[in-house]
Amino acid sequence: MTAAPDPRQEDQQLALEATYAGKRRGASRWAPWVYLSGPVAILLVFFAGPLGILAIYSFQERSRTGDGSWTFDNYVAALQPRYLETAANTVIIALVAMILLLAIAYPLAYLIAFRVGARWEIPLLLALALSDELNPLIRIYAWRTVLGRNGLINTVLEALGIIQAPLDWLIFTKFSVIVVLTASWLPYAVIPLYAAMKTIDGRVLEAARDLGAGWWVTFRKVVFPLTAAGFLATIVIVFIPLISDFAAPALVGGKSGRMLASVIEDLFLGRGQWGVGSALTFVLLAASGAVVWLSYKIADMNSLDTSR
Amino acid sequence: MVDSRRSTTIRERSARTAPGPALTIATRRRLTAAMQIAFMTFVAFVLFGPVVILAVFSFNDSIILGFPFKGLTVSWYAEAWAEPDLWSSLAASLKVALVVTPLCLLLGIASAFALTRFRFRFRGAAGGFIALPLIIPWLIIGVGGLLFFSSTGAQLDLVTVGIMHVVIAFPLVTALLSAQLFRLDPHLHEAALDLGANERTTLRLVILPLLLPTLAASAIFVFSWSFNNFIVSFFTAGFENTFPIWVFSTLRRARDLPMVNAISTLISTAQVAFVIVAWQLLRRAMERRGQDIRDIVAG
Amino acid sequence: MKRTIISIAALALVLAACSGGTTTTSAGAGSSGGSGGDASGTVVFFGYEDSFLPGVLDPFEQATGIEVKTPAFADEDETEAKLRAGFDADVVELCSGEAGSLIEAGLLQPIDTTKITDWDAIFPSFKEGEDVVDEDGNVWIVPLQGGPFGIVYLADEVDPITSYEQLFFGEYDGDIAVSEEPVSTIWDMAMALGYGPRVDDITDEQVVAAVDALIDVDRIRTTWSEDGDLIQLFATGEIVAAAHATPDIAEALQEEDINAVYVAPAEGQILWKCGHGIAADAQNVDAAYRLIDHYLSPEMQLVFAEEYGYLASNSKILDVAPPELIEELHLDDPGSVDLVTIPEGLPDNEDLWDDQWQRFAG
Repeated sequence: MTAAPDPRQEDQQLALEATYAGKRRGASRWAPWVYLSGPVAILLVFFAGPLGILAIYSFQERSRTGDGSWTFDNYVAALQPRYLETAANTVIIALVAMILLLAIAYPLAYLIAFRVGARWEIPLLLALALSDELNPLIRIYAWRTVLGRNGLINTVLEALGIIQAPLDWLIFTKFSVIVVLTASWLPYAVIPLYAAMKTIDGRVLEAARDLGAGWWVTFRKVVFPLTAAGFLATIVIVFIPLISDFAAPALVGGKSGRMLASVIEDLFLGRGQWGVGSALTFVLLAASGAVVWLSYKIADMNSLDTSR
Repeated sequence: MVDSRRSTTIRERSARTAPGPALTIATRRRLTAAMQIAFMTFVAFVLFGPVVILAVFSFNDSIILGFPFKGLTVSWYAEAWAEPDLWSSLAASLKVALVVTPLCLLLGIASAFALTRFRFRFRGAAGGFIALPLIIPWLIIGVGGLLFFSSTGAQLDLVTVGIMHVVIAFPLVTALLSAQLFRLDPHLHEAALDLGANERTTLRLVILPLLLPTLAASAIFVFSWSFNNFIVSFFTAGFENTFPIWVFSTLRRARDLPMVNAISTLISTAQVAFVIVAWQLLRRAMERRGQDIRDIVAG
Repeated sequence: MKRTIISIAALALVLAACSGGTTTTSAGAGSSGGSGGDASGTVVFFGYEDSFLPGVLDPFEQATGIEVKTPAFADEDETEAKLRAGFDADVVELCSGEAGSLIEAGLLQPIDTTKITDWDAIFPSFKEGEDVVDEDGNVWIVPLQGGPFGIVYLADEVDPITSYEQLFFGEYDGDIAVSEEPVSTIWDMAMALGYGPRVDDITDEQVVAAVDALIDVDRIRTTWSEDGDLIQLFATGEIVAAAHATPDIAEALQEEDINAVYVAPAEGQILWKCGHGIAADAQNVDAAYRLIDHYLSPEMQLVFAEEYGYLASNSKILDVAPPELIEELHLDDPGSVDLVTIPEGLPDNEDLWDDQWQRFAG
C-alpha cells in the first residue's frame, strides 16, 4: 500500500538507514522478512491460491458441464460488445462517484486535520468509521426513502414550492447509484486522506500564508503535492469497491444503473458460466489496473512538478 | 517531534495574518467558519441521515419503510428477539469478527512496520502484493475462495469465512498504518536504537503507542468489514450463517424488512455505544498516566 | 541472529497451525457430514431458511432418531455454486426451472419413486417440467409446494389490469416494475405479445422481439429483486403494478390498507413449484428418502399451507385440511387455479435469453 511514498521521506529514510547500516547489518537483511513472512504467506496461500484457480478457469472450457480443454473462448466471450458497453457504463458511474467522493473527502480530511482542533479530531474520525457500521443492504433501503418519488427530498422540495411534480430522476437512475456509492464509501476515502494531511508540517502551511500565498496557491503548491501519495492510495482503496459494487445498482439502479459486477455475479451464480465470469473478472482487473496506474502517473508528475 | 497544539497555532496564526481588507477580516472569518460548519453538517446528514431514518422507521407500526408514520410500536424488536436463527447468526458474526480483528491488526502491524522501516530488495513487490486484495473485487475473492477450499477438500465453516476475512481486511490495516508510519519522525526510531533498544522493543515501546489512534480506527474498520461482509461470507460459509447472510435471506420474505431493520439499528447503536465507551475509558486511562491523549492524536 | 531464527520458527509454527486448522476441520466435517446409511446418523438438508420449520423438523428427528443438519442458502444461485464446488449435502431444496443446470452437471441423482409413499398422490400439474420428470422418465425433484405468478396492481390508482398485454401496453398512468430474473420478464413480455405461453414454445426470434418490446416500454421504472423489495416499491408510490408477482404480495399490502389486487393474467399464470432433490454424492441416501417422505406427508404439507399459504403437491392434503383452507387456497385443484396455469420451466436456449437480457438491463 505504499505505492507512492513521498520522495522526501524516502530520502530521510535512506539517510537514516545509511547511518545505521553498519550497526544493524547482521539483522537488517532478514529482519523485514521476519515481519513479512506471516502476512505474505497467508496471502500466498489464501489469496494467490484462489485467484490462481480462477485464472485457470478463465482459460478452460467449463460452462455447465465438461472441464479440461484449454481455450481462449472465455476471453472472446467476455469481450463481446454488450459486456464492453456495461463495462463502459460501470467505469463512468465509478469515475463520477470517485470524483464526487474525493471532492467531499478531501476538504473534509483537511478540516479534520487542521481546522476542527485537537478536541474534535479523534471523535470525528471515530464517527466517520462508525458510520460504516450499519448493514449495507439496509442502508440502501434508507436511501430509497430519501430519494424516492414520495421521499424526503421530493417532499421537502414540493413543500417549499420549488418543484410542482416529484423529480423522477432522483432514483432508479445512474444518479441514485452514484449518490449511494459516494455515501457508502466516504469514510474509506476520508481516513487515508486525513492520514496524508497529517504528514504536512503545520509550519509549512504557516510559511505559505506568511509569504502571502492564497488558499488556491497553498493548495496547488503545498497541500496537494504533499498529499499526492495519500490521494493515490485513496483512489486505489476506493475505486475497486466502487467498480465492483452490486447491491446499490440492484436496489436503486433501476434498469439503467446495471454495473459489471452484477453481470459477473450473474455469470458465476445465475448461469454457472465460471469460465466467462473469470475471464470477465480479469478484464475488469486489467481495466482498473490501468486506472490506478494512470492516477499514479498523474500524482507522480504532480509531485515532480512542485519539487522544482 | 510533534507540536500537539499545531492546529490551534495555525488557526490563530492564519487569522492574524490573513490578508484582506481590514473591515472584512472578521466577516470573512465568520463566513469561512459558517461555510465549514455547513459543509460538515451536510456530510453528517449524508453519513448519519440513513441511520436516523431507519431508527425512526424501526418503531413504525407498518411493514413499509416510508411515510406516513402509522403509529409507535416495539413489535419489530420483539419479533427480532424471538428469531432463533438471528441470534445464532449474530453469535457467528461476532465470533468471526472478534478473531479476525486482532489477527488483522497483528498482520497489519508486522507488514506495515517491515514495509516502512526497512529498505530491502523486493520491498516494492512485497508492498504491491499485500495491497492486491484491496483492489480485487470481493465477489471474485469469495468465488475464488469457494473454489480453493473445495479443491483442497476443506469443509466450509466459520474458519473458512474467517480466513477469507483476514485476507480482505488486513491489507487495509497495512495501508492505514503505513501511511502513518511514513510520517513518524525517523529520528525517533534512530534515537531508540541508539539507546540500545532492538527493533522489536522500539516497535513495542516507541512506535506502537504513537500509532494508537490509527490502530483504533483500523480495528473499527476491520471489525466492520468482517461483521458486515456479505459477499465473501456468502460463498465461504457452510452450516452456520453469519449475520449479513441472515439479513440477505430474510429480506427475501415479504414482511420481514422492518424486523431486519430493527435489529440492524439496534446492532449499529450497540457498536457505536461500545466504541464511545471504549474511547472514554482509554482517554481516562491515559489521563491517569499523565499523558494527554491529544499528544498521541496529534502525533 | 538467534532471535531472528526463533522468530522465523515461531511464524512457521503459526502458519502450520493455520493450515493445520483447515485440515482438521475438513476431517471433522467428513465424519459429521456422512455417516453412510446409518439410520440414526445425520442428514444434511441444504434448503431455504423458510423450510426449516421446527414444527416439521422436530417430529422427524423424534420419530427417526436422525439428526437433520440445515445449512440455509440465501438464493438458488448459491445452491448451484456451492454444490458445484463440492459442498456435501444429502437433500437439496430445488425449484422447477432452476434444477436443469444441476442435472446437466451431474450434481443430482435420479429419485426412486417407489421409496416415496405418496408419489402417486401428487397432482399431475406438479409433475410437469423437464427438471421434475424428464422425457426418459427420470425423476429429479419430488415437488412439495407451489403457487402462481401473475400481476399485482393498485386498484385505487388504475383500472383493473387483467392481462400482461394490458400491463405493458394498456392505457393508464403510472409506472410498473418487472422481475429482475431474465427468463421471468422476457417470458411475461412474450406472453403479452401472444407468444408461448409455454416457455418451450417461445422461439429465438420471439425472444429477440420480446426484448425489443421491453426496451420500448417506458413505464418500466425498475426491476424488483425480492418480495420485500416489491412491497416497498408499491407502498412508497414508485409503481402502480408489477409483473411476475405472487398473491402474497397483494395480501401483505392489503394488511397495510393499501388496495392491492392479485390478478391471474389472461395469458395464463405461471405455476412455481419447489421440492426436494437428492445430491449425486449424498452420503446418507436412506435418511434422505425418509426426510423427503416426511415433507410430503399430508400433515406436513398442511403445516406449509397454513404457515405460508402455499399450494400443496400431495392431493391427500384434502383429507386433513379444513374446508375453509381448501377453498381459500384452491388446494383441491392447483392445476387450474382460476385460469390456465403454465408450469414454470427453463428454456433450452437459456444463454440466448440471458444474452438478450443484457440489451434490456445492460
